[in-house]
Amino acid sequence: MDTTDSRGVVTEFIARCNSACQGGKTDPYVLLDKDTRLWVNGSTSLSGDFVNLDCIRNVLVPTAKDRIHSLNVSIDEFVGSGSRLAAVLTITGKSIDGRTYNEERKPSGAVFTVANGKIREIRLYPNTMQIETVLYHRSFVTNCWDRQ
Amino acid sequence: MPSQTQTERNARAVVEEWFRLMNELAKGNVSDYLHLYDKDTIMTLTGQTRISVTTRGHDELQKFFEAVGDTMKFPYPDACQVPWEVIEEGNKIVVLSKAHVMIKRGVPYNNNYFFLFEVRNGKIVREVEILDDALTEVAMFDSCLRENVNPLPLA
Repeated sequence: MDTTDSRGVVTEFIARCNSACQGGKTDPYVLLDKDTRLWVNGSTSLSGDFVNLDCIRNVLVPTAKDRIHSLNVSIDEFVGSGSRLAAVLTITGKSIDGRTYNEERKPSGAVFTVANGKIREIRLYPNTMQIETVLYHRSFVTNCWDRQ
Repeated sequence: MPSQTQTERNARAVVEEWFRLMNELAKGNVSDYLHLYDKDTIMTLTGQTRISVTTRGHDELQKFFEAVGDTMKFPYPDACQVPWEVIEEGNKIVVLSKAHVMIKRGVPYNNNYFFLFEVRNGKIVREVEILDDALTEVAMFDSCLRENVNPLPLA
């Protein structure tokens, strides 16, 4: 598969995710292999290693839907050729109580493996402080060890 | 697997030297790293940490590195930033890497990084560093996460 096809698959997947997040009928899952592995950086409630499509569909997505009202992902640039490619993304959204995720539009990173027209692996590097503070209402408290 | 162009070989060599120098910098063995950067380089450390910033040019970049050094209390003789995957296209290189260091107050700092480098004429003109900023905030700034009570209205 050449670069154009890989990028096309990822671009279409992101478009389908955006559409689905806005109530559209397009199905992003059709572009994921049943063994797709999704790894999310960090130790947030949305982080971890989701080892196949069932895990993504039945664990990660419902967990995210609990906190996310709307989501939009834009691809700022691709790097790479063939089946393995990296992308810089801008991920923005609203929490279920109306808070804005990533108001400053800071970049996130992602790496995709694409084979036979399906995505086999995604590694996602999101803004984890925004997940903790905006989606889960947690606070970062300084010098907490001294006060315990 | 397509063969590397001269541009890619040059860009990769610059990035490999960057990782070598950063590891030596953390160990306290080098202080000169600006020569890897173009004078108008743009560096972004993403996220919401207190050291997240976009710098432009050598002076701002040097201040950033000094702030990192002060925050982490360099040197760390055992510090190691290990690149484990490189994805490249022309003069752009993405590196996935993992840090291995024990912060001086005893907190492990094993952050996972997504670096994007853009190299032109043998110099880094753009660097984007994407990491687990929550871990950075906790490990480097002596912070912890506090759960807030009743964060959401009951259904």
